Amino acid sequence: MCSLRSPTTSSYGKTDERAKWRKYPRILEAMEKKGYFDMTPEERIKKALEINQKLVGGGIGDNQAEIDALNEIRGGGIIA
Amino acid sequence: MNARIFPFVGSPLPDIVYLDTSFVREVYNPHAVPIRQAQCAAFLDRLTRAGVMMVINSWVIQELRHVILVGVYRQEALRRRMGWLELFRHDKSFMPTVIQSIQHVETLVDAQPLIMRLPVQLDLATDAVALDLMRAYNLDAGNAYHIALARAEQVNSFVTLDQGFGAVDALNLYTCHPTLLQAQTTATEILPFATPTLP
Repeated sequence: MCSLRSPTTSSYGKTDERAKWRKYPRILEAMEKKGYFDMTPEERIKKALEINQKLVGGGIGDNQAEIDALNEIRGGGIIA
Repeated sequence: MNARIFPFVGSPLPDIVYLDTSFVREVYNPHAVPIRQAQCAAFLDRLTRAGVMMVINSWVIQELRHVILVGVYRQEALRRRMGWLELFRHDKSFMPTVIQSIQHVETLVDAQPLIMRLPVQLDLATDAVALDLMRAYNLDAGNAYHIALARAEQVNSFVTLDQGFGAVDALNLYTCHPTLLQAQTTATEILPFATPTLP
């Protein structure tokens, strides 16, 4: 038996998704502004994985200097 | 350790995590220890595939901007055999590089559909909670504000490489920090969000 509507792409599905996040009002607001609900879960994950790849190693600057700087403002404890 | 410590692999996942500066920094730095960066990158992908909401805020952003600035300046200062602060005070020519790097990282973070960047609402109540956390767990101010701000959003799961969070009750910590992992939990469930009574 097949479903007449997809829970991920219909407006019904989107409403369901919003309900899950209603107890986090500021996060929900950020999600709305970012267009989170305009994408299907599959689209989100695909795009997110692409961006993760660009993020890994995508900065510049000395590694140890960054660790030391963060340790100074955190009182130590960050992996060396 | 009072926080519940979970490894990156095989652990149960919450609906929302707070991405600590130490984790984000480890992901984007091009000179990070390769095996550790690979662990962090794999966990970021694991969170993504599971549809876990990842939260950062302006407190994380200001720390990232600071460490990027120091990273760029100290790299150049080492070549000139001087301190980075001395170079920063007298030579602003590296600031465009700093700004470009900050914008590059933040643009990617903002484009990632599962990472939500929240504005920080610092107020007297947050100040009071942070001070209570400092007192109760002997925390640095930075760590205390991260926890106070996460709690304000009802988030108690952190992805971090900072062992400073380990002493805090009612937190779930996801990490590859070897010291934290010595106290790794055998629990199969995460701690639900609660605002505990401070010791």
